[in-house]
Amino acid sequence: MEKTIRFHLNEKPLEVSCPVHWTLLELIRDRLGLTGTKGGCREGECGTCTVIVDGRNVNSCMMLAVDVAGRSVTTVEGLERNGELHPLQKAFIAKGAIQCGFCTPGMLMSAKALLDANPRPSRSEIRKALSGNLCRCTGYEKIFEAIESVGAGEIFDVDDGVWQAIEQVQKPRD
Amino acid sequence: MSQKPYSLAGKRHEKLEARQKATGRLKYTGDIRLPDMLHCRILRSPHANAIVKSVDTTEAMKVPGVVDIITYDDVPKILSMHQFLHVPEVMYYDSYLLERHVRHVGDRVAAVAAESIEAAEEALRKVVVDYEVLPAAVTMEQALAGEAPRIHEEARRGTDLVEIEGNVFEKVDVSIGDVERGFAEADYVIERSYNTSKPNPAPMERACVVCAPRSDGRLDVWATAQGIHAMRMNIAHSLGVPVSHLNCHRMFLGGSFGAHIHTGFIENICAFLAFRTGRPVRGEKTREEMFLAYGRHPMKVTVKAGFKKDGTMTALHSDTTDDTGSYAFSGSSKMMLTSGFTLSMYKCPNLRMTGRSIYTNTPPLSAMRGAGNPQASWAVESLMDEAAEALGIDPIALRLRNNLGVGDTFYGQGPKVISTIRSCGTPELLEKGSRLIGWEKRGNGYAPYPDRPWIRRGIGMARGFHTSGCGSEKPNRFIMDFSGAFIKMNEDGTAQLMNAAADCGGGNISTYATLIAETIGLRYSDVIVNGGDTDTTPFDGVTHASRGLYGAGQPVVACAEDIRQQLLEWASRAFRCGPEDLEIHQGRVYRHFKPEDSMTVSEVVLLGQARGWGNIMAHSTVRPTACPPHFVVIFLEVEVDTRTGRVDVTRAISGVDTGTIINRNNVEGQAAGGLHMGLGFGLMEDTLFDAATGRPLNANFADYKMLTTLDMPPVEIVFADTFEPTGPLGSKAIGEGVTNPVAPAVANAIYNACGVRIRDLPCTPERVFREIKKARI
Repeated sequence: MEKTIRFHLNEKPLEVSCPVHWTLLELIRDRLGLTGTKGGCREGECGTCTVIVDGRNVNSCMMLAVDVAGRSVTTVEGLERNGELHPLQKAFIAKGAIQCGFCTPGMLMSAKALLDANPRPSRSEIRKALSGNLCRCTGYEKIFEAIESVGAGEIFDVDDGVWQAIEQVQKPRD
Repeated sequence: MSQKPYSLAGKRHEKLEARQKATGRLKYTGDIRLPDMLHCRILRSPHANAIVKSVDTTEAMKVPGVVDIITYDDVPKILSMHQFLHVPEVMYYDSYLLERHVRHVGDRVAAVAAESIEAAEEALRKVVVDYEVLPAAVTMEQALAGEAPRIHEEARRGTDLVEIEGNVFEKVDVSIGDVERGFAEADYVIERSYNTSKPNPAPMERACVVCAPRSDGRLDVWATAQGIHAMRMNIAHSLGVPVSHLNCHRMFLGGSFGAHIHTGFIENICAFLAFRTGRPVRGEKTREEMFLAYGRHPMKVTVKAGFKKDGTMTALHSDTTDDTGSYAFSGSSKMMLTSGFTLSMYKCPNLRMTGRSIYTNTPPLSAMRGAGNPQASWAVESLMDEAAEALGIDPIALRLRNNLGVGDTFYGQGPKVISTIRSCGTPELLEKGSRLIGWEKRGNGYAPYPDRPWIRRGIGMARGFHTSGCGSEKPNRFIMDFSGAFIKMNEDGTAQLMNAAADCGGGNISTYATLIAETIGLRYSDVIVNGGDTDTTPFDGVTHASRGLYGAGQPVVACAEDIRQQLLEWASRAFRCGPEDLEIHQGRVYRHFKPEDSMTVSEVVLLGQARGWGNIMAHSTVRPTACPPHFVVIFLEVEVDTRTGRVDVTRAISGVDTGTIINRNNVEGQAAGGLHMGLGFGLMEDTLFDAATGRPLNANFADYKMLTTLDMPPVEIVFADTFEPTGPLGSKAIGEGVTNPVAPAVANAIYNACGVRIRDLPCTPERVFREIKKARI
């Protein structure tokens, strides 16, 4: 059975129909073709499918697609603005927080949900906010550093592939 | 060696694909969708050991959307192997695409290709299988018991049929020197047994393959593979088709850690179904299937070592029992490596390794970050601390006394892979790390919190290494290790690399850009690395054994040097001078002492084109003649809750000897990530199977625990200032060494904290608590 729903996806209104038993992840990846959101386990444990629904980070594999009717959904594809990377994306690249990159979209979405609610989180607040996102490559250290740098207002610029912090507003907390 | 004359190496370059990963635009294998694509699902055995008496697919074929179903009767009867990195004559050919005798819970009975995953899964439920269930040997002890069921009735080693005694398929007994004399000369002899667990590599990306028939009758394959040429060999062999009928594409991997060094059935099955149906076929493992397909070999390692009173090691004998699971994906190589690594940990004149590899009715295992070395490190580095205490020598001093360093013979990937060590940062790292952690001030059973005296703090360390690839001074008959590369110059002054080495996330593809830019004199952004496929690249070994930069980088540098000479020669014609009067810097050719005479590399290429000088291009194939160990020293501080056995790691120092650093972000990330995986091995990671039925007990991320952001300690990284003369720009590897010694450092720290010695991995709260309780009685 299919159902038609209306919601906002990456700030654009959308009307789409999908089977009622589909998860949000299936809708995003398989019907809408936005493959930036990953499915590492499809059982709510790894966080690679994290998207933001009405300001909260959720595992899209654990939410029914029809439940986003009337809501606002942000995926990793919605982070860039006019071709300009989001500060979190720049910081992840600059700090080397991306290795295989498979957890990155989910990490970015959990980090964005955190910073939107708490613009200058401490290291322990970052750890807690990302505790549902597994990473097998980085040991998390550089991901923490990247989020802290955005919290501290660091602005990066790139020269021949090397990113430098050109401006730091505040020192990182902790 | 300190100041290295490089302008790009050592910086924090953005990985070439980092933006695509940060924006979600990079297509991993699982993101590929083709028109008319079918979905494959595999019917898996619920029994650990059974004969498939019959398979009835009548009802399953009626499910709407089902296009094809195959069983044992349909697949080629070609006994196959699954790795192509050791020489074929030492590899085991012991499986078909689908089996009549299923040997573990999750083994392959039938495969369905359907228009949708739902239809394929519906069909799986309607296939009727009649099994004759046999007794199973799930544990090592069961498999070695006299009355154990026979797991394999036929297997070949290379071209020879193998006599499988019980379930032991290979044994080894190698001596170097005279161990009996060595033990006789010792003042102190220690013998201990250590057991390791069965962690899963658990890359975040699930294994996936898409096979698409081409209009020329061949097949395109996109898959999560650590080596596209190896995968092409494996698929072609098991299907009985010429290798050139397949074109395998290099994909960025969402991690792998050894999971994808072998071609694990789903690839071959989808290729077979694509040939049969003439349509693209996609297969993707579920997370449970990931847990039923990969893992580090559990081993029982007994080490006997003899020491003089001053700590000098006189003899070492290791005995290893290795469980490969139901198929010998790696042959006996993991046992050979664990045994071999125990011998190459320290300098000792009298060495003996004995061991056996066995089949059990559990999922087939292959590599996981370290390939036999984590097991060897667990045994030897635990033993060194036990011996140090008995000898009354500081653990660091005992290690330094027997340090294997520059000029010493190194048995790399087993005793047949012999080279000489040319760089070693161990002493420097021991010194730096011990100072940083406060080694001298460490206590025994220190209780740091007066209000919580049950919390005991301890400091422990371990040192180790892994090889950089598998090269040996003379070619060996054990493992293949060579790489190839092509580079061409484009008219806009960019250099374009065509090679095949996979990037599992470590960033080696980007390091090739640094090597090329540094060597030719280009900007980093002037280098393009093609995606590449087996049609357009030369053979390259699998990205394993930490060889991505060290091994695959060597022909890249050779090509770049060749290109540089060609550019200088053309530019010298333009400037009417000798090539020795010129240099290339940031994409521009300058004349010494006449900097106003300069032209861009692009202008040089265009000039040659207009004059009909031809192409600037280079090719190279290199067999590395060494596999230099990248040494690692780990220091940990732990707090043990003696009421519960819970262990918290509160400080972690990873000391790394990686030679020249090519991309600082990459090596720091590897060090922290390797520590993460090592702590998982030390503290919690293990796949469990019911000993009676062989059913998995924790084949999901809810029950299989790895360190989350809340568990991971802060990581301090120190580097040794070394230069590896055989490596690209002086570099050596990093990927596996950073994991290998972590688990014994955990156990050594626990011992320092609360006086209990854990010899079986992982050091779970239950195990630690049990030992604490035992020690109190």
